[in-house]
Amino acid sequence: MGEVTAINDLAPEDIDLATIDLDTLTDSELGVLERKVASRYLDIVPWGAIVWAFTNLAVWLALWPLVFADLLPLWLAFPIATLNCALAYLPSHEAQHSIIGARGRPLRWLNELVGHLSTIPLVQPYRVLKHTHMQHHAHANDEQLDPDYGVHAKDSLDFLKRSVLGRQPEGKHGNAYFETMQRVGKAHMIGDAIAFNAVYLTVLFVCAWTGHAIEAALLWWLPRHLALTYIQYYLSWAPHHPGHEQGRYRDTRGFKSKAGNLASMGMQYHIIHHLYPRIPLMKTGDAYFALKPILQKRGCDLGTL
Amino acid sequence: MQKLIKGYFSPLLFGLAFLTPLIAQSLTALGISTGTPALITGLAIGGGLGLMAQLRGSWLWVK
Repeated sequence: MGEVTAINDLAPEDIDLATIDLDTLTDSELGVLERKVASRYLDIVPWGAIVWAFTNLAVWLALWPLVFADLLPLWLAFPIATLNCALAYLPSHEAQHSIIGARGRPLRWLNELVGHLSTIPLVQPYRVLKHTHMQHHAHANDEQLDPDYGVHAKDSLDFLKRSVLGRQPEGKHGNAYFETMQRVGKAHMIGDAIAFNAVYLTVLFVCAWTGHAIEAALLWWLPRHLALTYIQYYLSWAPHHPGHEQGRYRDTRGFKSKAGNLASMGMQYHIIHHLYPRIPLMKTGDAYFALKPILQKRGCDLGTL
Repeated sequence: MQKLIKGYFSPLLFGLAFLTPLIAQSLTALGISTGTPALITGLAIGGGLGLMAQLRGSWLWVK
C-alpha cells in the first residue's frame, strides 16, 4: 500500500525509471507508473500533423493543373503523387483518435476537418476509417472481429500477395470493412464510401475520355494503389506481425525497420500507439524510450528496437 | 438504386470507361501500332480484362 501511495505521489515529469527497481512493484503499481509516464505525452496538439495534412493535400491537388498545363512533366508528378497518397493517411489517423481536438474541445472542428480532407487522395472516407479503426484497436489480431486481419501474412511476399488479392472485386478486405460497419451499427456511413468512390471513378472516366487517361492513371489510380500497399505494409502488417496473440501487451510490437523510422512512417513504435492511442504519432518514439523498461517488464515484443 | 451503384462500380465499366482509353492512349504515346486503331486494341484488352474481372471477381484471374 505504501509503495502504491509513493508512486501515486510522484509527478509524471519527476519519474526516472532508471532509479526505480521495477521488480519490486506489483502489477497495479507498474500500471500506475506506466500511465504516469505516458501522461507526459498526452494532451499535445500535433501541429506538425495538421500542417502535414493540408500541405500534402494542396501539393497533390496542385499537381493536376500543373501537369495539365504542361508546367510539370508527368514523370516527375507521378512519384510526387505517390508520395502524397502514401502520406495522406496518418494525419487522418491522428483525427480518428481525436488527438487534434476531442469532442467538446475548441479544436474539434480542426480535428474533423483534417480527418475528412487528408484521405481524399486515398479515396477513403473518414467516418468509415474511424469506426473500422476503433474496431481494429478493440479486437487487434482477432480473425473474426479485427477488420485489418486480412493483411496478416507469414512474410513480406505473402503480404504483397494478400494485399493485391484483397483489393480484387471479390477480395476479402473490402467486405471486412463493410461487415464491420454493419456490426457496429454504422452501415448508413457506407454512403460516404460510395460517394468517395463515385467521384473518384467519375474523375478517372472523364479524364480518360477527354484524352487524359495517362495523367489520371499516374496522378491518382496507380499512386493510390501503390500507397495503399505501402500503408497496409507499414501500418497493418509490420507492427502486428506475426499477429498470433491478443491482449494489451501482445497484440502489437516494437520493431527495427530496415527502411528507417521515417520511411516506415514511425510505425516502429506502434506498440505505444496501441497502448496509448491519444499520444501523437510524432511523440511515440519519445514515449517508447521513456516506457521501454516497463514494456520489457510486461513481456512485450520489442525486437531489437 | 442498388443496381445503378453496382453497375457504376463494376469491373466491366472500369475496363470500358478507363482501361480502354488508357491502353489506347498509352499505345499512341509509346508509338506502338497493332495494325488496328488504338481504341479498338484498347477496347479488346481493357474490355476483355473488365469482362474477366466481372465474371471471375478478380483482375488477375487468381483469387
